[in-house]
Amino acid sequence: MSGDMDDILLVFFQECEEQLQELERGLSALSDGESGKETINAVFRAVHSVKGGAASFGLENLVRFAHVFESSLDGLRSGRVAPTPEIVKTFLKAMDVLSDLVAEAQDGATVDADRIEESRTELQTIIGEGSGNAGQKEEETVPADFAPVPVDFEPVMADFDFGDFGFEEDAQADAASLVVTFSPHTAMYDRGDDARNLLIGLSDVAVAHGGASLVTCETAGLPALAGLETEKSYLSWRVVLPAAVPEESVHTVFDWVSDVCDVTITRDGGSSPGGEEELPEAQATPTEEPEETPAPVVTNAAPVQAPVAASPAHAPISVAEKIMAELPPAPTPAATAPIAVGNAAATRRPVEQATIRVDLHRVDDLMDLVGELVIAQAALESIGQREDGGQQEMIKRIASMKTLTRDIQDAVMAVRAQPVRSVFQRMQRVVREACSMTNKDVVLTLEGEDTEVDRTLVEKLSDPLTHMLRNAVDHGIESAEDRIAAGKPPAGQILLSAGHRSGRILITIKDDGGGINRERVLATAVKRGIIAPDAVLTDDEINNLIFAPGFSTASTVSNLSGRGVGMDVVKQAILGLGGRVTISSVEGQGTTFCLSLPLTLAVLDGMLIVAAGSTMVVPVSSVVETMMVNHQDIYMLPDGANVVSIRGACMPLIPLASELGLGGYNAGGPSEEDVILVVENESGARAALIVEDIRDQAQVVIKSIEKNYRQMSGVSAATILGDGSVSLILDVPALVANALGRIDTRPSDVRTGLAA
Amino acid sequence: MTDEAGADTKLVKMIVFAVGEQEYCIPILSVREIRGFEKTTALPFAPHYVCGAINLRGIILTVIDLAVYLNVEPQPDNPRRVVIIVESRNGTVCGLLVDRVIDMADVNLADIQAVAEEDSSLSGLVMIADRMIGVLRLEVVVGQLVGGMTS
Amino acid sequence: MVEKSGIRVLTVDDSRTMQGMLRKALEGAGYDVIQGGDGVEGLEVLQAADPTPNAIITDINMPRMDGFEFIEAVRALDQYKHLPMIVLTTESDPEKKARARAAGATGWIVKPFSTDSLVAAIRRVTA
Repeated sequence: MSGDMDDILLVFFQECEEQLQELERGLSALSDGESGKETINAVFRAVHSVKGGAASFGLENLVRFAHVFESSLDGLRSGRVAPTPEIVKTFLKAMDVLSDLVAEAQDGATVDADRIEESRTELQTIIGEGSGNAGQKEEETVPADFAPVPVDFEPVMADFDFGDFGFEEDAQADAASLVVTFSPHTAMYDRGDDARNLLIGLSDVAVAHGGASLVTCETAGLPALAGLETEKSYLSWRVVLPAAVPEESVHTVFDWVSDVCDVTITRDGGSSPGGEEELPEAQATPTEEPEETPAPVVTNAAPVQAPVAASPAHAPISVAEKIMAELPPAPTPAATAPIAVGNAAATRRPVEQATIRVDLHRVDDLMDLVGELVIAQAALESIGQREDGGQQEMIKRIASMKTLTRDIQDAVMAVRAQPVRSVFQRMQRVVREACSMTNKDVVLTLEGEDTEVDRTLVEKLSDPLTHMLRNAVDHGIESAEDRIAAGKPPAGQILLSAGHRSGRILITIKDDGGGINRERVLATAVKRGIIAPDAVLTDDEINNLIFAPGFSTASTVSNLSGRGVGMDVVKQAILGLGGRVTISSVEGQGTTFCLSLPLTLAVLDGMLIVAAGSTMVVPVSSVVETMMVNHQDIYMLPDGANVVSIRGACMPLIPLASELGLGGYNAGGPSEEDVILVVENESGARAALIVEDIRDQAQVVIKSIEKNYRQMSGVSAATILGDGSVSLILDVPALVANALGRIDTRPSDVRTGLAA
Repeated sequence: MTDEAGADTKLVKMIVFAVGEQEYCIPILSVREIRGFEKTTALPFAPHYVCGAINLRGIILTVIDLAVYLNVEPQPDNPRRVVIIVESRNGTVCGLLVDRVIDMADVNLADIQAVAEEDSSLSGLVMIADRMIGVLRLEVVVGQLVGGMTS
Repeated sequence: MVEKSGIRVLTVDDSRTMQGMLRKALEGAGYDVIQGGDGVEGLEVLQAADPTPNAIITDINMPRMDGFEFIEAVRALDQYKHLPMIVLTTESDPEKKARARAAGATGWIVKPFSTDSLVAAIRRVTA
């Protein structure tokens, strides 16, 4: 039971997350001047949903705040309030508070009460509420019928109009029984209602007051059978209720149908001794367990039986019985629900913690492909059974199966793909907060939010991006005064964009700030002992110093970027995802960070090569060309390193086996059988790997080795080959960087730490 | 198993195996399975006691040659060496290459004679059926595999 | 083990949290539950459902097609003319109630609901 509830709570928080995203999207659209009805409705609905769910779990703080928020948004919806930039800003702030309240409900990190109060006041000001009467606010803002109710419930009065409210204390002292007569109009049946429902309602009222109801059916209105219209309502009913029943309870029963049913309620004057004691037992019984009685009606007039069966009052019953007869014996909800819905994406059942929501067509695509796979398998089986072995046919089929497998893999990848939007939108808040802490005004523009990447990657992008954006606001963008002095608009601009480029995702963070002050960076690096005082570095290398461990340019550590992690951690995180970071910066004009990441962390197109007798994988994307070793092109540098000249371009020669510390490298240079693999890193720097052989190209599944083993220089991950053996995936950029570092004349320790 | 070290008569089921002439034991609860030794994939810059990587149903893990690690002479030409797949308390999974698995034994924690060094790969010695058996400290053995970066 | 009532209820709500709670409450009471995430989906699910549900519980404020439109759309289909449809909403505005009534709603329950009141309501309209 409580497990179920936890599941639902989990769904609630998941949903809050989605609704907050929706809210953010809507508010961003509003601040861009797009104030269409749909946008406003979506924004309203998001807050409304959070409130509704929160109320069910008795999350009072959340409900209270969401309610105020909702009211203000209602002002927007009704057109009383215009979405001016100021007001949208207030909403954005309220959204952050709401989001924190959700987090509070989730893990208990308490939200500062002053912040809530401040935002609440701002919201109320928008719709002209909450001026001066702070004391009463609480009561006023949450309507009486919207008290948060915890789920394991005290029964709450439902405003269900068959009501069964016990007003014991109101019971009349007068012992006169209450007589109710009613005649439903045909329209009542058209509303899916039934006289039966009213009778049950009355019976429940009677039972609640310790008595029973006596029902009689008035058939005077019934025409002859021939003239009977089955859709029409002819019957009226007379119900005698115990004296203790107050009239209000009866009114409640009829409230909903008052427009489609004539009702009269009278007290039976007390003159008649007909109290509840006088009711014959047999007549009272049907009211006690009405749900088990097909027709909870005691009729005094015998001939009524047949017409009643034909009356609309009973039509729904016979339908229901028919349905029940057709029901499978014991349908398990789990089995029937998805089939009935017939729509995988729409089956909203809490399953487990990690869930994804997928476009239906992607699942359909996958389904189609799997269907083809089943056919292909059947075809293969039948070929296998053929007398002649069907060699040719078999080869053909296997080839097509290979294509199919590839397609299925792509389809599964598509299912796992997710737009970066969710992470990108979160960055708006990061920037807003960073701005308020640094007293800067920065506009974050998002581009390419629809760019899709594997969902595991989406989640892992959040932390590094957060840090980089904080850094951009804190260190990139200048103070308003400095900007004005430099002839720039006072508000800074940061562009966060995503896009696909040659099989990778490229994320750029571009600010229009002061650019990297290389002199200061250099001085700091020397001061911190990161580089030697006499080191000579290129601009690019100086830029990269900010990624060096223990580096921080701010002369006073601000409370923002100074939160423990430095850019070195960001870089490690990106590297850990198989990505690279590059910086470009123009003094006075701004800085651009480029993150290049693999689309997925799951598969890779690899070239299988052999080094030190082992099969290894080189990502195809980093291979430029392959060629045979030609000794005339190889030169040895004074320090012993080799370079190779390929069509005039010189590049370091890396004997892979010895580079990886596996087996000796023939001192006489590569043998004639060896092969050269020209590889390049993200920025186009090349190196030549000497390998023993090139085997094949294959798509490999990337397996982490770091969980059970340390990180290895030159190796990014591993995979499992067709024969079940483990094969290493080479980290080409690291290999290139190491090699370039070695042949350079400058101290290599600077560069190894910086290689991007 | 040291969790309950306070309880003096706490019995722990150990698996006893041989490396060379010496016998060692580890708690049975840290053992996932035992499999035959097969070809491993060499790893760059690996410590000399690491044989390489193997594939255990899709999980890649490394195999430690305990004879090399413990600096014990392995049994010569033993074709029946086995790999004990263990999981350390911090979740690292790896294989231990040993000469053979001998048996199971209930070891009373109180009977283990501690060895002096804190970070030693042996947490102590225990007598089982008149044989002196080393109690291996898995965290130390396995812990050296993860963390840090080789270069 | 909950005894099955053989009665099927369609719940239409855009909140998965609410859907989860409805499912828990109704399945706990032995009902078979099918669900739709908004009016449009509710209609699809209803028409694809075999057997047809015995009652519908619907939210009002939903994207694409709201509860009023949904009730009207269901009532417009002849085979569902008499199908009980109960509104479950945070609203208690009399105007909205009147609108629901006019659209053909059979009842009105205010969120947050108690399992008892919900089950009692279903029991009545499906007795």
